[in-house]
Amino acid sequence: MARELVMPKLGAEMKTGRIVEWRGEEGEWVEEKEVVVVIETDKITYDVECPASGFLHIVTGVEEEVPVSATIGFLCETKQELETVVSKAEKPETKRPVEPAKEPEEGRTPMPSQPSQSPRPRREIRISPLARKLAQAEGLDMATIEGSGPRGRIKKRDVLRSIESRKEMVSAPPPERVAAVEPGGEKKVKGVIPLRGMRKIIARRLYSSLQQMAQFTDMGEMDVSETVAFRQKLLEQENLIGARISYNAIFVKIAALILKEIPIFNASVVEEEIHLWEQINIGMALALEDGLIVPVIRDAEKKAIVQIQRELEDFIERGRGHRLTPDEISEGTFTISNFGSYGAFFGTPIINPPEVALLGLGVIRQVPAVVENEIVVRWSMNYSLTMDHRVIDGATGGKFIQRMREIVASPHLLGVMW
Amino acid sequence: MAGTQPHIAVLGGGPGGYAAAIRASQLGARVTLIEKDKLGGTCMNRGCIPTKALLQAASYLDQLKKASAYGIRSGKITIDFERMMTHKDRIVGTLVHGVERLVKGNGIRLVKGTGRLLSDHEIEVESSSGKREVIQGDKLILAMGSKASSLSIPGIRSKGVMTSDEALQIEAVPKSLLVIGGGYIGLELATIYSRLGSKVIVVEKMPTIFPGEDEDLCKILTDALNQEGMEILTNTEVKRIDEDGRGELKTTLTSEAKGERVVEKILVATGRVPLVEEAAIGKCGVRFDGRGVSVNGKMESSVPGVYAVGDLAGGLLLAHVAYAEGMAAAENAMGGDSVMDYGVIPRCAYTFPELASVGLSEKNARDLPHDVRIGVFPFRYNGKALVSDEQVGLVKVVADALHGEILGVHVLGPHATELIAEASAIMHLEGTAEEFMSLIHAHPTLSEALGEAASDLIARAIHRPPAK
Repeated sequence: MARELVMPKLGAEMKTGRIVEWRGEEGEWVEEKEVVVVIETDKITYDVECPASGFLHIVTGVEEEVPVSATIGFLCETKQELETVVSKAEKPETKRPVEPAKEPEEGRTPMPSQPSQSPRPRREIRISPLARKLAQAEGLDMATIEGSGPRGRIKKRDVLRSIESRKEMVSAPPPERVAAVEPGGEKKVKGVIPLRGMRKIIARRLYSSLQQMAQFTDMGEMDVSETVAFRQKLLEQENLIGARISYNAIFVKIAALILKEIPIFNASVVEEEIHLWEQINIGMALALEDGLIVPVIRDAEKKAIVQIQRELEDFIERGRGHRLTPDEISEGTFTISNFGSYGAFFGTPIINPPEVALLGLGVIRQVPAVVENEIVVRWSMNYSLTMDHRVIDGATGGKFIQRMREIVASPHLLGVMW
Repeated sequence: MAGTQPHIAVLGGGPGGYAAAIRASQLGARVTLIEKDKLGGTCMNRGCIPTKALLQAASYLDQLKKASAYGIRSGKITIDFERMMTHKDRIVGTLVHGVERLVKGNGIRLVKGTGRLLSDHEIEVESSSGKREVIQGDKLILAMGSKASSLSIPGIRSKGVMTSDEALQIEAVPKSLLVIGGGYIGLELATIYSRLGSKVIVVEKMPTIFPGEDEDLCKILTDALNQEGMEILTNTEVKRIDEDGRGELKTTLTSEAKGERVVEKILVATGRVPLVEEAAIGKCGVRFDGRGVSVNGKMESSVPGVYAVGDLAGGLLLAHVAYAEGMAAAENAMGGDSVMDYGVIPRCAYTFPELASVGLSEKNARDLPHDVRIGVFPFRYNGKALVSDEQVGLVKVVADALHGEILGVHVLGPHATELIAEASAIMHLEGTAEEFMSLIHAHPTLSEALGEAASDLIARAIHRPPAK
């Protein structure tokens, strides 16, 4: 039996997914557990593993967008089966996207609007005249609008929703199309890396972040000697604790506790209002070979450091394999970026929208410090706290840093603060 | 499969209820439909259908009178009112029987009796003989409908004061009739009895008949009705009713039209109220107020798994709204995700001429932050209207100036209630002024007036003189 490959549902809100890349060729034998296709949503790229070994038949082409659960390919046990599947698939009926409900009347020919046989670069755009006019007037790319009408027809409400979300997210023109090479120069193109998948998501999100907020960064350093000693003890008792506690886990906890005390950092701007969030969900920027992802520790203020550590380890493990789901990278309310891990001192980190602040951590190193008129060796860490000035003023930022200084000076508090 | 087949109980067999029952059955549910009287509800038994049957009679009468101008001579025209009523009842009977067959054909169990909620999944039904039965439903759909509202003025209980239910069952055409309420129900019945020979007075407390509908069209309609011999009194209320002892009713009017009117019958048509007090729904936690049961977009009440549709859920008390709500509720009760969209709902009044509209009136559209354009085409420039000698009225298209979005369409004139379907379709499919005016309408038809009105949005109508 040929096995269907379907567009996976990676999160509660995911309705459609787009094919970024097929790792297997048409008709090729692919092994179970091998990554066969890379898909993307508007938030994430994801490696899909083969549920079984088999000869691959590709149904949905690269760049095509299909609803969740739609068939994107087949895995056939034998060559013969592959041929049968391919010949069947060439009949247009089997290629029809999944329909939400039955046709109201039997015996009626369906509307003649099915996609053609070969994979096409873009999905067919079904759009109402009014929606088309609105989209054109707003300069929206109709291919990016998700239609809520019959068979994905784009209606007025979809365009309005898209305009709204663009207000929140992206300002025109699309970032990936901005920097064009000036013509007639001496420069020659050596290679081309398509701006797609995770790269495209990063480009769009961070570009739009800078377009929509008044970001400023407060930089400074703080004495973290006590915290270094605290962590050293935790490392010594690694066996007892059952985890190797990282600075990241400690600072996730510290940030969460400060956010609880100063809720304006745990907020978003929604139209003309600042919404303070009930949950404290700390995102931790995680560098990958080919990009960056920000998995989220939910309700971080309520979690023990060891639990945060375990979650981070799991995120790192799965993040590297592109196995995080959109739910795991959604609904962050604050982000930490530890650029110290690659030796940086300061940064100008960009806020992860719709959050309003981000804490960048520099490298922790020994410095000569003056303590009670003596020069002594202390552990120091730089910080770069980026804030959205629409919401947070410098003095409020100062409060955050002051509180952070206090906690890193008395890290034993972390065991009792809740 | 019986173990896994969901059971849906529907209380009330009017348009909302029977549509819900049939849709639930189509989706694989086991369905019980509870009705205390006849299937078809107010619409079939006491509303839409019987009034249309009588209006058809009134229309034939009018056509017979007009026919002589076309060279058709007939003898003296007489009215056999008894026969008219019997014929009306026969039409109603046929339709009710048809619904019974639909219900049966869909395998729905019909239980006759009065239902009362015991819990969010139990309805106790008491038959007319006093037999009781408890119906268990995984989901309940409530569709008990509405009743005619009353007025609290002195003399409202006098003999000769009728609700619309009674106005459809009288034995003779009254010599004179005063109708309180210039909305759909009042004016349709006023039209029937006026055409059958009653002297009809309509009293409306708002400044115009059909409050909320397009004012220009209401004004033309008022003039047309006045010309027919009706007396339309707006900004006026009835203060009291007195029996004069000779079988007549003396009404005292206040506000704009003062004085008294003495009539044989009075029809109270001030609207309808949802039957929220029935079936003890409040005891099971179903929240409601005087305007109906509170429901979300999926027609679910405050009690999960209990839905309310049609007049009971308030809003627009129209049969076609009830159908749509009933189907949506059934789909949701069966695990679907159908959200009611009230954006495009045609509203029809079967007066002579008919008034039909969909979307926003010109006034409401101008209240929005839109730049609004208006396109108008009078039926007097339409060939087909001339042929049938029905030239009173016009089509008005209200559009957003920026994108040409059709915000509302209003038709006053012959077959307006049929013509409005085209406007609804265009709005539902989100066609703009451009599509509307480039659509080719058959000639000669009344529908050409719609295309011309749309073209008039940019002063491109062909068959009317350019505005000065």
